[in-house]
Amino acid sequence: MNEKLYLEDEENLGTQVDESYDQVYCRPSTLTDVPFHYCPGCGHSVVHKVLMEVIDELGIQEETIGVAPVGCSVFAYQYMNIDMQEAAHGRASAVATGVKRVLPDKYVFSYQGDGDLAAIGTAETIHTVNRGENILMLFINNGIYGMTGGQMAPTSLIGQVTSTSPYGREAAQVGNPIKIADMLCLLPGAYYVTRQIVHNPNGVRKLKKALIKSFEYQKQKKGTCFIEVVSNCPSGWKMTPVETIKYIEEQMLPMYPVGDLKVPQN
Amino acid sequence: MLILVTLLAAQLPCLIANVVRGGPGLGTIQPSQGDYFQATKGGGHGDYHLIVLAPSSVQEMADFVFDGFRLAEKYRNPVMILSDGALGQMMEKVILPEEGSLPKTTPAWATTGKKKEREHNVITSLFIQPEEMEQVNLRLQEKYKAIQSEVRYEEIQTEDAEILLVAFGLSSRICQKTVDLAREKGIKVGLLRPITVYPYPYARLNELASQVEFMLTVEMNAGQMVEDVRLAVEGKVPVHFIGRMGGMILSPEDILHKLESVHESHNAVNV
Repeated sequence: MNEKLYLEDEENLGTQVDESYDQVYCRPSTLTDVPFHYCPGCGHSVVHKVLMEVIDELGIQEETIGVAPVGCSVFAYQYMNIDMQEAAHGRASAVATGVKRVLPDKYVFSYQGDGDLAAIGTAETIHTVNRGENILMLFINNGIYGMTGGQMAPTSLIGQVTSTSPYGREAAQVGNPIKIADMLCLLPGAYYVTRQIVHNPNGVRKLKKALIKSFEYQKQKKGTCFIEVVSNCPSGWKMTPVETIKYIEEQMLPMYPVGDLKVPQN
Repeated sequence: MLILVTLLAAQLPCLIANVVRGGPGLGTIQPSQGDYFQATKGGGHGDYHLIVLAPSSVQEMADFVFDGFRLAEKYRNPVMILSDGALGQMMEKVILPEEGSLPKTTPAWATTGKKKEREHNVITSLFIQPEEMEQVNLRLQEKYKAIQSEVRYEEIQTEDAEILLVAFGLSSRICQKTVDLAREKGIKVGLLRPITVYPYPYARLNELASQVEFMLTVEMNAGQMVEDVRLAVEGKVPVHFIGRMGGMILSPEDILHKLESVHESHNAVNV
C-alpha cells in the first residue's frame, strides 16, 4: 500500500495527502473503470467488488478465468479485468468445466444468478458438482428473475409477489422454493458449500473469507466450492434498497439461513 | 441449436459430428440425410453458416475429423461432419493420420489468463447494441465469402456424361453403382459428389449444366439438396429428384429405373 494518496473532495481535488498515512481502502485494480449498470442498491455490485478485491489480494489476476451467466450479470466481463467467457443460459458451470479441464492450473469460477443456476442450468449445476470439478461456483440468489422484469424464480419465496405470481407464490401450483445449495451438499464432489450475504459489512467480510478459502481449496484441487450469496433486487422486488435489507433479514434468511452448509472433513 | 449458434457467434472453433438418423422427432435409428437443411441452411437463429463436410466412406469419416478441426481453427467457425446412420456403423479399412498431425496451438484470443501486456480476452456471443451486432454480422458475412474458396467435390465419369447424378454422402456411394449399371446399358451417366455441402459447388454444377441433358439428384430425404442443384443450374437444364425417407435406403436399381424413365420422357419430348 505505498501508492500516493490524493484527496477527492471537490475543493481539494488532487491534493496529495501526507504520505505518513497508510492507504486502507481503494478500488480493486482488477475492477475495470466501467461504471456498473446494476440498479442502485443491488448486491451484484458488492459481490463483483469483493471478488475482484480477493483476486487482487491473492495476486491471481493473470491466473483466473471467469465465466459469466445470462441474467443481470451477463456483462460481468465488462467489469472484471480478467479473461472471461460468457456462457449460454444456465451453462456457465459446463463452460467453466471445459476451461478448467484445458487449463487445470488456473483458477476458474462461474458467476451465476438463481434463474441461471437453479432453473435452466440445474442439470449442469448438479453434474458439475457431482463430478467435483475444481472450480468455484458463485451463486447470487435474489429469488427473482431481475433482468427480464421480475418474474418468479424457482427460489422465490412462498407468498412472494412477482410479475408472474401477482397473488403471491403458491406451493400447490408451482412448488416450493428450491434450496439448491442444501441439495448440492449431498454430492461427494462438493468440497465446500456456504451461504453468505452482502447487505451488511459483517456479511461482506465473511464472504471475502469464503472466497479466499475457495480459491485456496481450488489450488489444492479439493473439488467444487459453492458459495451462495443471498442478495436483493430492489427493482424486481419493487422496494427501496433499504426496504430490501429488511426483506432479506425477515423473509429470505429464514428460508436461506446464512452459514457454512458443508465444510471440509479432516 | 442455441448452443451451436452461441459457439458460432462467439467464433469458437469446434467440430460437430451429426450422424443423421430418420426423423423428425425421436424418429428411427436408421440412416437418413434429412438434416441437410439444418446443417447447411441454419436451424438456429441469426444469419450464419457452418462449414459442412459430407463424408462418403469411413476413411473420409476419419480424415474429415482432422480437416474439420483445421478448418474450424482457420476460420474460427464451427464445422459439421454430416454423416448418416449407415456410414456411422460401417466397417471399412482406414488409414489413420499420424499422431500429432494436428498442431496444438494457443490462439491469441483464447482465455488463458490475462497477461500484463494485453487487454483481457472476452469470449461472448452477446452484442446488445444493434449497431455492434450489425458489424459482427458484416464480419461473419466476409468470413463466409472467404470460406467459399474451401469448396470441394468429386466427379466420376463426367467427362463425356450426358446425364448427371448429384448426390452426397452415402447416396453418392450408391450412385457410383448406378453409373456403372447405366454405362453397361450404353447410357452416358456421370456423378458429381459435393464433399463440402457448405460451401456448395454451385459454379461447377453450372458449368456441367451446359454439357448434360438433365440432372438427377439422389438423397435420403424428401428433396433438400435438390434446391441447391436447381439454384446452381439457373434453369439451364431440368433437375429431377429421387429419394426415400425415414431411414430407408435407395438401391442402385431404383435410381437406374428413375434415370431411365426420365431419360425416356425427355427423348419423347425431343422426338
